[in-house]
Amino acid sequence: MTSELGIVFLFLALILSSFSFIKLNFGFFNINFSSLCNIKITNIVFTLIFSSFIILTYSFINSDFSLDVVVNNSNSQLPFIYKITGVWGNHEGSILLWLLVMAFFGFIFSKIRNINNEFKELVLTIQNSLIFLVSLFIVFTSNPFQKSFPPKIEGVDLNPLLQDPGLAIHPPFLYLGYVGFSIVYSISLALISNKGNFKFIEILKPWVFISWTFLTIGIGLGSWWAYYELGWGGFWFWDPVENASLLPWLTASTLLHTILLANKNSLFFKWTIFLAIFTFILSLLGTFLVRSGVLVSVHAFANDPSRGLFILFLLLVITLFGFIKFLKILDNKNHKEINFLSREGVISLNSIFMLSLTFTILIGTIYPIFSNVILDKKISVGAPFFNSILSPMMIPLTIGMIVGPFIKWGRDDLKFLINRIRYVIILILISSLIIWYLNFGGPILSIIFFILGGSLIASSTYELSLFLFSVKRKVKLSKKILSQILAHLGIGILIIGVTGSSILKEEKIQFQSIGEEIMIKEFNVKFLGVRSVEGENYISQMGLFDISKGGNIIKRMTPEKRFYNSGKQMTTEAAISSGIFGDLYIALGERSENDPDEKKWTTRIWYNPFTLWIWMSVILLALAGLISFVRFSQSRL
Amino acid sequence: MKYIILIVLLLSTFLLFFEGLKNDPKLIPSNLISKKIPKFKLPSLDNRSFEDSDLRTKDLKLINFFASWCPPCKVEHSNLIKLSQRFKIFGIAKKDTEKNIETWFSQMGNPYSKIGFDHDGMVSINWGVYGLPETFIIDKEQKIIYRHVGAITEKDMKKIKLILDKNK
Amino acid sequence: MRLLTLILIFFSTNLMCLEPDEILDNQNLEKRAKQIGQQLRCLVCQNEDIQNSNADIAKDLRILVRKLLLQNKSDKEIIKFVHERYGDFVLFSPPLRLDTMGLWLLPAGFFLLMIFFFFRRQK
Repeated sequence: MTSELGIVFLFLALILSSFSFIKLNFGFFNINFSSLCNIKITNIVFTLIFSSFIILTYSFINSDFSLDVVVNNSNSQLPFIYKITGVWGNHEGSILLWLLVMAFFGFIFSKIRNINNEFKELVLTIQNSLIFLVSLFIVFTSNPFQKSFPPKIEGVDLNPLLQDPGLAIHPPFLYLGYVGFSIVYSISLALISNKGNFKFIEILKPWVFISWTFLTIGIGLGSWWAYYELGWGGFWFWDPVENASLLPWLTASTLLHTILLANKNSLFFKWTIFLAIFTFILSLLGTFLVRSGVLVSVHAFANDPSRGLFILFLLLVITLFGFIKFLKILDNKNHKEINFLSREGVISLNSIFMLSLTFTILIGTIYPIFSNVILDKKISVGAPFFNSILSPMMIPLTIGMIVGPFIKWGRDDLKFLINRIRYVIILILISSLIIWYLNFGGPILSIIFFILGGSLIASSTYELSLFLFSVKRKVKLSKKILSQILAHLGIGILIIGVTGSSILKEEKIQFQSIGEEIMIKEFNVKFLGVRSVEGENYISQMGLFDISKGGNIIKRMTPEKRFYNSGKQMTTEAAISSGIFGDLYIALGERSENDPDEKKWTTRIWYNPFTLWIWMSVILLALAGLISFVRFSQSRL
Repeated sequence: MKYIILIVLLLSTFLLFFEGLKNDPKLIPSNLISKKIPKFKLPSLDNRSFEDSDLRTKDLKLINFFASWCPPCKVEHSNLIKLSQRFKIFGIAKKDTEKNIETWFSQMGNPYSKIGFDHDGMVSINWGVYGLPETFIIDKEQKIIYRHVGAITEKDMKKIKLILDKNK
Repeated sequence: MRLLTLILIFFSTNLMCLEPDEILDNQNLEKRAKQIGQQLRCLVCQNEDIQNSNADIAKDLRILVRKLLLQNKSDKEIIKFVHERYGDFVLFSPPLRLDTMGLWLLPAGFFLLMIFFFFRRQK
């Protein structure tokens, strides 16, 4: 019975938010609806959607198999935690979560004091309109409360790959990031209507930083999950879906830089508004690509063209509305001059590079569609293409990150600049020599990128030390600078991690007999045999491996193959031993068929250098984003 | 002016995606269309050999890649038998055994004029086969004119018959 | 099915990618085989290269690549061999042709345009 209530609540939310949508559109034609209170609508709509979400969660916990989504994505045997995360392990539930996050951001925004009421109304009109569009989508194409006929007594089960802590929390973070940009979109459009009052840009800042932080964590979690769950240690595949999450991340990262200058120069104000609108559009485009089945992707949901069409329609409406508004401020041409050699100049160049990168990845992602539709040719664009574009682009971007923070605002002088960074140059030279010496004879590409990453780490550390050990104690380490240093440090560490684990990866794939030892790097991997282990809703074959280094056993590793009771599916659980210099990664394969003694198993052993650095960089970047968020949420108007 | 540019740009992108939605991204066109059939020589079911010269006849024919272990191949079997009443169908069994095929045929009939065994899958690769079953239509000049991927359903039968009749 | 059907089908048995008995004894050749494998798309899988896919066709292609390497074929010849049979879809990096020009020219044009506007503003 409760499940009927869920859809009723969604309907009510739809009707209520439609008032804002009507108001917005009549506002477009200058008809006045001033008596409508959007703040109240936001609060009620949030409560309704939240209740609806709770009801769905309740149905999952209680294994209510009268609902289609529960039947298809849950099972009475499922561990409690995965009953909950199963709510968003499917299309309908995840879109409801998406809507909830959207309403949540509106709700929080409505609670902020210090913002003038008129402006708040304006923002919430737009946010409620977005909520209206998405709830329209849910109610008409993706109703999570669809009854199943006839009611079932047992569910199919949640996809075993999703029965994993990493993937359980990945979608909420990703959506907090994606959908966080909906409020960024709404505020930006309100800023335009507000005739570009520069001071109001302060309202936008915390939302940009918090959404970016969530998106960073979301992407990081997805990548981490792929690394340990897919069983061969890959972490990034240039899959359309991954690109779809990377695109808004790139534009948002550009936005983080331009927004700092938005109240000083109208050129950057325009950039900021454009990027804010564009980031949300890219988030939506990602959703379209994932949910419509228009592209072949590993992560794709079941194909459903009618849903694709609906999202496409949403995308068109939101894009048109956003960009038509944006064109209003495009003509405003009275901005200050920008010197090439100044912080502003470097940030402009950074924006150009980042946007070009975004554009390239966007073209690479959708070109197969274009080629298929217009030229009637099926082509693939994959990792080799993206890597060949990204690698050269990283060089100027990294140099910018190294030198940028040392360049003065307004106008700088090359001589003074070089004098200022002389220690940085020396540091870079020394670290380059060390890196070159340590990697002598290694792949040239890895040396180049290790040097780039190492230099960025060196310069960021130097910058940090300037503040920490400043003799005069004149300059205080502000949150602003700390956040910038941490972020750049994070990127430096990321470069090292990605380079190490993709270029210098070592692998040993073999039939390993019980008792046999395999040498990889400085580790000796001894195979002890396979044991049967029973889990809550699966049976697993667990391989036992003793790892020794220099004669001493240092660790036992136990990769598994799990066979789930309900769905008769299998997952690999690789065993990973992480270290600062690299991960030892073991996956268990099949028992060899040609071996009469049944003592040989396929084992796959990898050494992935510096993979831990990738996850460390995600933490640093998230920390940097959080620090900026805290800083800007304290200093509001 | 700028509004017009914006709207045209957005609408064309919209149309592009809209058209894209209609296409099946998993269907891959054959690269061998209107090319001569590749050379091959395989052991055949009748313990002789099956090679490309066997296809050098002056009529339309079909060549079907299948296997007894492939479930969709059983789905299309009855349709192949119908087709075999009007056209010659040759079969290439991928990674299969005589025994399995004979048991299958004893239950459901044999639509093939000749069957070759592609034990290592290399002939399939030469034909650009990527999933079973696949059916090629070959014209009088030994050129490949059409490829169908997946089981031939009733709906596909109409299309295939149309192509066959057109090239008769 | 509302499930992530595709993941299910294509990843659930993913642990059977490159098998030990496929690996060549000659380490240099194996290294080249790996590089070639990463350039080729597994046709039935969703955006995976043949090197890391468990699909039947990916395995056949891996064996083919190694067979051709043992016949002293160059990397280019091997990729061309597969390309001729399977078409553009099998290549992860599309060949440079008139119809794929846009893929390189559009980003390059975009970049140059932006740079042009930036430096024009300097004056």
